[in-house]
Amino acid sequence: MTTSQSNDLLAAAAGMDTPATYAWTQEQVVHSLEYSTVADVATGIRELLDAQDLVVDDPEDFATSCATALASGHLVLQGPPGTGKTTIVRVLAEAFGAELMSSTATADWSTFDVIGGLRPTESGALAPHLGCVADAVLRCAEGIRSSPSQPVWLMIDEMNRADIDKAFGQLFTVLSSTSADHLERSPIDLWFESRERRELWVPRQFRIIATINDVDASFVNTFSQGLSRRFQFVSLGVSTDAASVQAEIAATYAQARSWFVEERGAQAEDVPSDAPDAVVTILLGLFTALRNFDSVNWPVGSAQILDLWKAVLLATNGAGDDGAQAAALERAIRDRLVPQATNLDDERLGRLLGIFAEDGPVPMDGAWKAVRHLRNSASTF
Amino acid sequence: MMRVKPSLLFRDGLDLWLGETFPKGVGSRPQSQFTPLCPFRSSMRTLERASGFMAQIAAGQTIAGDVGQIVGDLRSMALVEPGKMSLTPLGTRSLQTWNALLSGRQVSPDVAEVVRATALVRAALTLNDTDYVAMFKFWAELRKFQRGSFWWQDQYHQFFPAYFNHTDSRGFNPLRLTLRAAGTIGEADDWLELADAGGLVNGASLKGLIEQKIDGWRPGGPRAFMKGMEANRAAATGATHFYATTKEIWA
Repeated sequence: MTTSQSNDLLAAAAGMDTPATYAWTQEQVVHSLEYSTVADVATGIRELLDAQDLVVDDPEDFATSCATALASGHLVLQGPPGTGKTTIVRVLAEAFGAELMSSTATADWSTFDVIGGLRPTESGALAPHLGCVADAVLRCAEGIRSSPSQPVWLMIDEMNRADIDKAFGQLFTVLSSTSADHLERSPIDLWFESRERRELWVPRQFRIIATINDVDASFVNTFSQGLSRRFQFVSLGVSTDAASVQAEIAATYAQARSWFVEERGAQAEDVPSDAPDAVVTILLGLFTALRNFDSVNWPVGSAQILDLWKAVLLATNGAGDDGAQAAALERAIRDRLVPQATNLDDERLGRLLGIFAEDGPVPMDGAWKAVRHLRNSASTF
Repeated sequence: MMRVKPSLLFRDGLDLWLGETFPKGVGSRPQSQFTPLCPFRSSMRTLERASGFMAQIAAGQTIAGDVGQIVGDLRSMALVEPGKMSLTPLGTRSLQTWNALLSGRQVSPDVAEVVRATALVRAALTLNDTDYVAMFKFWAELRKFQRGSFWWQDQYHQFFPAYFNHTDSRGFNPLRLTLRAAGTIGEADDWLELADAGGLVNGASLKGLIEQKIDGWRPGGPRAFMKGMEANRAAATGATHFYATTKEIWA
């Protein structure tokens, strides 16, 4: 039972007229987002990112872009896998004081999944079902009705897995502006609901933050120009300069160390608080080369560095000598990182091979053989 | 929040107050002016339990269990007629509303209990049941000082207002004096210290009684009933306030 249904029951028990319609949502349109200034929100975003050891390229510019976009409308956060998009969306909502609902798009999404439709019940009858956007809009209106400063936002993860125009096309008009005048004129048409519930108004404070993966070839759907205009796009790149990569390596080590202490029940003092130099040196050379446009140009994100750190800590039980840590890292690179390179074309695989070659910047025999195997397999198909 | 030391606030007035409040000695409850914050009695701690017995009585079925105790408790809640094995108008209306709202729905026990309490309070106010009206007025008075969740937070906050809300012949009332002075009832230990300072009344210890009552207190039913009163209070002030209050009720 949803909170809304519990509230309806309570209202009925207290002798109030239960809201049989969604007409009341029209009254929630007018409340605007509450924040002091975009600059203050941007500062809040940076602080939240720091607090969670989340590393983004040019954090000041990134935070300002996101704060500006969300102050006026909906946002698409695009970037390669492993850059923390999903976590960052939560940070953005928190910075605006919004609660977040989330949904992950799939290739077979349609308007049923986004707006809603009729769904068979156990008794065989058809009952209205709200799609993810309509449901989030309703919850946002409920939240604002309870407290005007508590909106609910929707995160749509991996939005470009869906056929975007097909699934979201009916929302074109609604999404085109967050002005009160526009939204009061443009309720969502819930054709499948009873006449009294057919119109659902979108609060001014409602936002959609979508994430899209702009690297993986399995993500084939693109935004039409019509829908692109309804969102502001902010890219989440990966750092390529050595100083930023080094900071990212240190931050991910801190995350991995916390994870290890909790996961293994280890004593925090038994796991060094500073990242081991030997591993840092290898990771710095590797990730700088991988991400560099003139080299492999493979935008591997922080999540991949974090995975490597976790593997090293597990293999060395939190603290080993340089040799043991380097060996654990090499195994992790071979077994966890290299298999993710399947989408690289032959030329870039060749450059990746060069990185791990005996005379390359990060010589690693095991990783070199794994890349060679990958390249040979790709050419076979 | 200001810390209240009741024993310092009214050290001198306690003995007379105790003597007048418990004229027959410190028994199971004060004998006069007692306005509780829930209608429950010893065997009837929740409305879910009451509803089962009420349905059996309404259907003319035999009640399983200690019939005398169960029916006695339902009568003291004004849900069963005195001297008869039938529901009062309040019992009938409450049971009908509970069935209409909850039958066939998947509702969590906590939500259902608050819904039952809300409907019971609503019915009692509509039928102008004297005891429930007094409880509701007392609740509204307490709400002027603190939010609902302050009063239903634990057994101490549920228990102390009713037990110290007695005015002696000089106009001395520990609860009202404390609320006027500090806006809160303060700490449980302070009240126990006050009760201890009063010593014995007719051979029984007020502190001992309070400790015994607190130990046996089951806060779930009283909490839901207070929430039911709060839902009715909020409903009377309009939809906007009502829906704002639901957050606190479900928290």
